[in-house]
Amino acid sequence: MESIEGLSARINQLQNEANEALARGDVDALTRIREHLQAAERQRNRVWEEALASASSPSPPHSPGSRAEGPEESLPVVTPTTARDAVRMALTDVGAPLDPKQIQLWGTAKYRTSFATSRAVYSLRRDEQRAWRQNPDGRFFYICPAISHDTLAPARAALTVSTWDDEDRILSPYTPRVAYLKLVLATAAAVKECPAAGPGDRRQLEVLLAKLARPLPNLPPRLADPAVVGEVAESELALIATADEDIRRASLERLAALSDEQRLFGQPLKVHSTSRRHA
Amino acid sequence: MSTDEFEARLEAFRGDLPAVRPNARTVAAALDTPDCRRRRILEAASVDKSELARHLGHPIPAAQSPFALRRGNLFESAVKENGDAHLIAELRKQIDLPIPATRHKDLSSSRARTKGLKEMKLRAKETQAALSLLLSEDPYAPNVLDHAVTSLEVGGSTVYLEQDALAHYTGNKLYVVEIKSFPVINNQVDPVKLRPATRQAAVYILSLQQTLARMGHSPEKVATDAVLICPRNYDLTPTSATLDTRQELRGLRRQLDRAASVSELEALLPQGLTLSAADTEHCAEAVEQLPNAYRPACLDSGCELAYYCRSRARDAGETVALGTPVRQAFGPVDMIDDVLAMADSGIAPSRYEQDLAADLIHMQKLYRAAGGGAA
Ligand code: SF4
Repeated sequence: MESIEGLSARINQLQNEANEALARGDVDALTRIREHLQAAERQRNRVWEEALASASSPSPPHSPGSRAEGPEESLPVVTPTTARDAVRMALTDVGAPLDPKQIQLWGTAKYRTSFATSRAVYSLRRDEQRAWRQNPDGRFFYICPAISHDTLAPARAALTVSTWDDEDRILSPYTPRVAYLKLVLATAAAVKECPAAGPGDRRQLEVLLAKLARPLPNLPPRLADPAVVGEVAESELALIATADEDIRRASLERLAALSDEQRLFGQPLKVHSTSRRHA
Repeated sequence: MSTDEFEARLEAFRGDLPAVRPNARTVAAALDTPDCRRRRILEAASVDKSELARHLGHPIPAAQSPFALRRGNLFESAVKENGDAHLIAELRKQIDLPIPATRHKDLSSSRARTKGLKEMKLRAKETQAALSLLLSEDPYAPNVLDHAVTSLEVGGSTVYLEQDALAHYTGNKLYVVEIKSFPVINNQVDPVKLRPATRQAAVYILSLQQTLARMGHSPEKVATDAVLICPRNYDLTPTSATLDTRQELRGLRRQLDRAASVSELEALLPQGLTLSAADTEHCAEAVEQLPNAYRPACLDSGCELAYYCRSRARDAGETVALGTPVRQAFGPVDMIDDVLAMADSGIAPSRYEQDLAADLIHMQKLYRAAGGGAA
């Protein structure tokens, strides 16, 4: 497979060519270049998928103040090109099960993409299980529902990635709150890390931070201050993170005992029909 | 007859008409017309009365505009987004919910693949399981229950109600949360909106009290204050208040005591009677077999059949069809023809009665000119 550097260079070149064709008004050339461009982008996405899927657990959000340094900095800016991609990236960035609305908020503010509309995400969830059934090894990762810790049934809205550890895919009663707090932290960190990306990007993230921070307790009026908001979210998270983990871990054994499919997509809730009483 | 059998009979009676889920508003409103058996039977059978009214040719304008409905849904999802973030924030303000008490459980529909009454029964069971865990003081028991289903006994039949949310923390009371989309402007709520909201909260509280009692717990564990969450001003930023529902609760209990019993309803529902979406005449005949008690108050109580029942009352020549002032003016004389005869009798009517009689004569003329009634 072509290297990521080679692919990125080719994509850049094709984009320039497309712009030139557009400027000339040469529609035929534009159509042809666009096809090449899309093929190259697909190829690049596969390389990314492969690389990201090999990182098996969700990465915690960068701690506030620590800008990514070293080799990461030289990577091209990654933007999702499909809804599926946007979902996986949001989940990995935040490191907790999120619902479609949260995924959409993150995708819009962080990557300025509009792929991950709630509807797209919901239908994605169905498609993924179908695709898994056809070929469990067909994709590098699958988008899965979080699994309720008690019933081991799929949670209604929260999503995870199949490559995560089992315990990270389980939903305890605390998890929705934990996920919200982690989303706040990821947003606060992103605002801090953002200055280089231009004022437009940062503004979107700040708006998201202000929105997310509003229901947090004891906040001063300057809601979009990432340091202050981060601190409040962090201190609440500290109060519940251990309990959340304990509850999720307690279900690990039961989850491991399920079939491969149910381990990823949850076991259907059994309805103990009242008709049995009449039988 | 067992409850199951009566439920099956009610379902057969509904025929192919769409079903609707009862809610606190419909339960409270039906209690305002306690004498009407027709409404009770139709509601017990979950008949969509607005659909029925349309079939019968007397549709009633929707109680809520599509715009208001949409705003309501938007507001509820704003309150509940991000793991109930705003709901939790308001609970912290109103009932001093401790910071770590954020254990959430979603008891909404799609968890189990059932529909209709069966789904509600299943969800009521799931809610009871969650409540038992909560009341056992298990430190990990979810203390914010979304879309819990509780049940209320009305004259011996069970009505399942979906709550917006229930909240509780160890050692304290269980609170009913009501999410409403009417605005709080300068800390003021329109009393016209607040009154029904308080009454609906009381219905939810009563059904939660009954649910706890059936589980062998004290109904005292339910707070008689409900937490009301509304948008502040005109945007969708949530704010909250507590509503004291004690007075409404007393009123509701009195009304429930008066509600017709299941055995009475059973006796009134003719065997084999069914409604049919395809056949209006058949539908009307079936409805007419259920005794009603039309009052002008039917309109205020939001009964969707009000226009239909009123037109029937008018056809039958009852003064009640002409509204409260007319009915009150003529007291015990309840047939329009009798009133007209009085007007012809030579007894000098008062000024007010003259106007009324003139109106009646005019309407009667118009009505007959249009071909209504016997000449
Ligand atoms: S409108 Fe008709 S059905 Fe409704 S309560 Fe009044 S009498 Fe009963």
